[in-house]
Amino acid sequence: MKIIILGAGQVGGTLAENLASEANDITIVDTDFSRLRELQDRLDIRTVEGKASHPSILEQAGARDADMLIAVTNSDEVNMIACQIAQTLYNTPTKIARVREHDYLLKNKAIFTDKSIPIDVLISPEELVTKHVRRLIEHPGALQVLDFTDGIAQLVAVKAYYGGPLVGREISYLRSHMPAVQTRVAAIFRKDRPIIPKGETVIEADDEVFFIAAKKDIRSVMSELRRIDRPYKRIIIAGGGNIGARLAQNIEDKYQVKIIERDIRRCNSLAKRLDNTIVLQGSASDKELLLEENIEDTDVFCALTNDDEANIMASMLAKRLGARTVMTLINNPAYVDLVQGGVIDIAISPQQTTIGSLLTHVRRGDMAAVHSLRRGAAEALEAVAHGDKKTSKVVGKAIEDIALPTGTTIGAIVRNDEFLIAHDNIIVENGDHVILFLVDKRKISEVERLFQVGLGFF
Amino acid sequence: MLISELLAPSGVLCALEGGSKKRILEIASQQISDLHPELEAETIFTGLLGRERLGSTGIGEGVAIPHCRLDECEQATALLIQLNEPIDFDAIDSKPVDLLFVLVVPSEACDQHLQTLGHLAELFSQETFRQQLRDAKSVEELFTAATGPRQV
Repeated sequence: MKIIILGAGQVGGTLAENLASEANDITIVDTDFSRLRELQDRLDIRTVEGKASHPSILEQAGARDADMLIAVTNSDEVNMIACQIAQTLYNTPTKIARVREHDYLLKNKAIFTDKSIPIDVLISPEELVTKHVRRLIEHPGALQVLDFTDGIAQLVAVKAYYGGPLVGREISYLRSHMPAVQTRVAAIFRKDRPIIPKGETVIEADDEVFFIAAKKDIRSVMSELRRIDRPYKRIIIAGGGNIGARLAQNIEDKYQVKIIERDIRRCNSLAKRLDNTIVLQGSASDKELLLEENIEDTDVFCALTNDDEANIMASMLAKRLGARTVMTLINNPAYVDLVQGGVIDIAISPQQTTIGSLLTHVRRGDMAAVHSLRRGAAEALEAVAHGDKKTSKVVGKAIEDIALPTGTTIGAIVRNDEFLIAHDNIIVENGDHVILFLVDKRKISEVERLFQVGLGFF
Repeated sequence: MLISELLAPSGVLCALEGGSKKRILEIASQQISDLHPELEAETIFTGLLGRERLGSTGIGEGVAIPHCRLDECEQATALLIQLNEPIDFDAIDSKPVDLLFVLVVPSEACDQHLQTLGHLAELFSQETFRQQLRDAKSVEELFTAATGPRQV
């Protein structure tokens, strides 16, 4: 696929890196020459220096032939106008843009249509990160919670601990232990290496277990893998920026939320906007302040400022002072590897969170959701099966007969909004949403091929 | 439906400068719309692209048969395109494509279209047929090669 990426920032750069390895034809546009050169040195991509929304630059970047435009410059306005121009001049089939400003998003149904500003997919990293953190708060103990088919099915990653009934036993025991719950272990990572789970695989303490279940059953399955974590109640958010404020607004009705913000004017505006949140002016790495606010009784400390180092330091301090769980927003991918699993419980990477929603549209075949996992090495997909016995390699087949590449498992199927666990004998139907887990992303093209329809499909 | 019933002399493009899959489908949509003004180029383009997204119609050996159903379409319409330079089409055998047979059909009469498609796939699987199309130097030659007596 020919793809033009506008903006070589963190999202643009990560995206180029992810896509360049998959036989795509990538051109990236930015005004910053040194950034472009740095990317070009590492990756097999084309670069164009210039203003991303200028028609001549778009032309130079190959807009005439591009299948997709991904506008992720720093400016919402440039992103929007670039999509508009690409549509008007070049009829670009798929246009994806990052739009951050909440004000635009509020009226998005009216603004972003083919007749006004033609953007097919809006990406709002702040919103994605906020939802991500919120899901983590709703599922104590989970390292990752991913939604499929609007949350009907969820994929959850947890660390297995001593004391969980299933730990030290075979996976098949799960079914006999809790027959009413439909779940499937999709993958296990043991000391960072993937294990393809079979019925007789024994779960060990410290395994990172990915399982799929209907939303309502997630908690019961988690309780099999670790002593049940009591629900979170008290939350402290460090940083009252876009993400912090949005998160507070989202959860303040259900949790006791405090937000620490350095800037007094921002504090005032937060206090006006938030009804049930306590707004504190100060530094999140101020030990006295944290102690005064009972950090030792805090269930979750979320460091969400735009400064990685500040987030990490504040989180370490909070953890040392007794916060039960710390979650830390980290932009620099190198830091994510460094801190996750150490003092910091969960590192949240905006790029990782965002990339999935972009990949959904890059993948061949009809993908309803893609989540990039384990820093891009693994992937969870929701593919829609189309066609019939003749035109499809999956429809009309029992799951056990589908020729899946190694390292790939089908976890569940959602059929007409109903959650079905992927038993071997289930026959895939036209329109089914099939949820797959790939421990090795390199197998992705085989999976894509599997879900593509044959010539005879109209 | 035989290829001679589908294809009109005006539906043949010879030695087209392609560049990319997207641009070829764009040109094809425009051409079909010019021949059948009741069909909008944009609708055809969206239809063909939507179908490609679910799976490439590149059947291998440099041949692609992009197709879609359209509500606005009253009778099956086809376009035969020979390209100057082969283009990447994400085909089944990953080979670039230089012969395209674009087919736009009405929403109903599904079985008949499936047969047509099967017929086309078989025709294009014959190496001599492909070679004749590739050897054609003009629109006339291409049209004759496609609809000539050689086919069954």
